[in-house]
Amino acid sequence: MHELAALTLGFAAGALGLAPFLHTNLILEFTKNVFAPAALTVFASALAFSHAAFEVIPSVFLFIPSGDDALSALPAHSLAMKGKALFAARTVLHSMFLAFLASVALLPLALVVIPALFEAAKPVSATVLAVLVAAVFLQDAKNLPAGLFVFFLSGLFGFILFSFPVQHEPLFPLLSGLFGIPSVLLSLGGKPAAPGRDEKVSPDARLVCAGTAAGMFSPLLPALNPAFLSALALGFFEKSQTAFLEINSAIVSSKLFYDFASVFMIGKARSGAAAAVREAISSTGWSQFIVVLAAGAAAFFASLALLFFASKKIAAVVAVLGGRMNQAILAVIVAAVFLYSGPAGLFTAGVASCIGLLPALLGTRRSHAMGALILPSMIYSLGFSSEIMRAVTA
Amino acid sequence: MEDKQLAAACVLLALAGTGLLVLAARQTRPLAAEISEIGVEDVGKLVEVRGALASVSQRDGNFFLKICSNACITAVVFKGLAREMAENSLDLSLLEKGQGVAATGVVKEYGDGIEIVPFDRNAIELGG
Repeated sequence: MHELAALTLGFAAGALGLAPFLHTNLILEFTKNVFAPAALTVFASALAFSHAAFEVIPSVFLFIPSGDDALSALPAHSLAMKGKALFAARTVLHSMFLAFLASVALLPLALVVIPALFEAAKPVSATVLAVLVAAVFLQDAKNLPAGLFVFFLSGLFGFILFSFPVQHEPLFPLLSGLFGIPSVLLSLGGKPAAPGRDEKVSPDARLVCAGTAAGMFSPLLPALNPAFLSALALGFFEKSQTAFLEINSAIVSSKLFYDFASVFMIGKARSGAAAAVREAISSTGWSQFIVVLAAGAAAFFASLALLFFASKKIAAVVAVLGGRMNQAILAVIVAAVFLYSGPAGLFTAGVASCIGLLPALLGTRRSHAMGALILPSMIYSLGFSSEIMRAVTA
Repeated sequence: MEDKQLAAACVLLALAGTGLLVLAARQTRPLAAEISEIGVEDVGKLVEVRGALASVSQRDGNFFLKICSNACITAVVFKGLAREMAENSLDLSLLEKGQGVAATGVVKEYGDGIEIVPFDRNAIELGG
């Protein structure tokens, strides 16, 4: 297939981001065999960037917590509940756009710094990870016991899932349970957000730069997701819902960029789409990177342009449809887990959902449930996995 | 249902589910894998490989068994486990190049490559 067709299809497939919880990895799983290797690199990059832009709409306008669970609302949802959903969406899109440009500007620095730091950080990665996790917990000292409980419970669950052959491909049911299903359950009885007034948006350059830098360094510590990095980075700035959105969006955009760059800088794929590119490319030459980057940039800017011009109308349609389909969306997630991972996947998603509901019920951050990925990563880095596995099976 | 009751129910179900997973983990057999098929994506998984010993070396009490079939991988047995094996099942210092073995362990990334690290005293069996 011609690369231009792959680019167009990647952009179009990325629009599936409007459908909640239809993750890039899942789309790639069903489409990657259609493409020849060269076209697949273009498709995967275009898909990932386009999807990141389109998924902003459901993440802002849908799954607003119902009244009883308003305290657990994410920052975008809190703004949406104040009638500022369109402002939240445009803040996210603007910040993502600026962070992409900043990521390109930082690339020469990253080419020098990241490969050198990657080798240097390997022996101390677990310690660095532990320090960063501790820093996030200390920012939220009021709910420390609840946060630690969620972190270690999800971490133990994730460690067993990833260490023993009890579940084939556990990541999809695990993340669906920790984040997807609880979001839908907590929003039952709530209403989708009305777009609200179209206010002027001007992201804080300091937050965008900080988010971009955090995204640039993220390949060094792959277990940290954007929400966790945002909580960490926001510790240095005045906290507000808008500030969180700006820094988090910058991290999402920059991390996406550097997930692909990592393939060429350090030979590591830090996302499903980047892994597809790594498998497809014949070499890690820079001409290949430019193709991947160009495809991603083209799809990203096309998606952002479309959303800037039509976000109000698209949001209105998504909100109307999404608001009537909470139960249907829940059914689709459960069905996708079953089809992808079988009955064991349903069990995993069920237990993970119980863990994923806890942050909202105990009044702590949802990102603490990322312990499911972070704690196993720390255990593997520290070299304790054998001892713990031995204890589990004793 | 009140939030506190719901939270308690979620905690109980999550602990019960994790407990069931531990029971399932105890019952599971390692994934039998061709050495050539094991990659970085398998890091953290429990695998069983079979092949011939290409070399056996010892450093500071730790044993390094290079096992080859269609490719090669090193099984690293740390000294505590090696001592336990010697007392109960198999003295690794008596192994010889060319012997067939089956090794069960966790896949780990080390340097630019991967290795498997056994954690059970019956993890190395002769005649693989």
